[in-house]
Amino acid sequence: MLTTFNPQKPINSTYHVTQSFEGFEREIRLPLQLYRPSAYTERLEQISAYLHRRLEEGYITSEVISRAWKALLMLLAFNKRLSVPVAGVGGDQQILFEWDRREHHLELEVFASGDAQLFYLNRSTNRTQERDYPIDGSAMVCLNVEMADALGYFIIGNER
Amino acid sequence: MQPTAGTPVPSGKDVFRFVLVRSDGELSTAFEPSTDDKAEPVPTVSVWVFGIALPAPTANLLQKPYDGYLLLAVDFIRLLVPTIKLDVPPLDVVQRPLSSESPGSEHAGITGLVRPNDIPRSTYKTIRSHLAVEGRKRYTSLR
Repeated sequence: MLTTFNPQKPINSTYHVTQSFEGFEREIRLPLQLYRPSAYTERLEQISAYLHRRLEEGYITSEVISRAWKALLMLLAFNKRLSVPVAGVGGDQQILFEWDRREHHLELEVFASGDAQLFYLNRSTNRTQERDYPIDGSAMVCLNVEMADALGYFIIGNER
Repeated sequence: MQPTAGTPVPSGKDVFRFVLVRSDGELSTAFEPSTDDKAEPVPTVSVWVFGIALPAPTANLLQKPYDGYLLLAVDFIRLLVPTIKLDVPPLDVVQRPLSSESPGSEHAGITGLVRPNDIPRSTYKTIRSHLAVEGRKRYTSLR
């Protein structure tokens, strides 16, 4: 399975992720902007620019950027009210998308190996949730109830 | 014979770690061990002893475009795991000479940050997250 994504492509009302497998090709459309204010698009563009700067500095590869973008877009499509995270890079060429709201912390980490993981931490209680996050194959996101609930701390307009 | 972790950095010292900021300018993943860190006989996360080494000249020597550095008290690092009551060995900060040709005491490493296979990732993510929060309090930009 090959998955391509061009993060330099202008962010329109629909993102296109192309998958090809044994000669067959399909395009997944992720309608990200249908429910979003313009600030949402600007934040996506900011993290895209950030990741390309890190690419030029040699901290990450274009392959991990491509996979990380796909992982992020899948999650944003899964929960259409989820806010745009900030992006960071780790010491091992991994990319992290992070959400923070009061004591709640969420990470989507995409490793150089191509694996990815979701991690939730409540900094007050040290309660955690973690879940492997497959990127290949289906564009569907499959989360357990606890992790799906944790996303609720970071949706736009929810200050609970 | 088991490799030794090294000579402890004295109590009362600060150490600094070079970091990259996130897209919003804040710190995040400052304490993830790299592949090189994990390959050491006793894995550590690289830090420098403040005062013996100075951040700006050290960054120039390393020739990597770091965004800045953060300072952490050695005593905070050692007390972190007992303070947050996690059932794993406490962290330590030990001298880690870069090579036998350069046996100075300016380079050090934080031990205990590399996750054993039988411990959940979440435990070590929690520890690193607390270190990052503390480190943000004394962050200096190099840009």
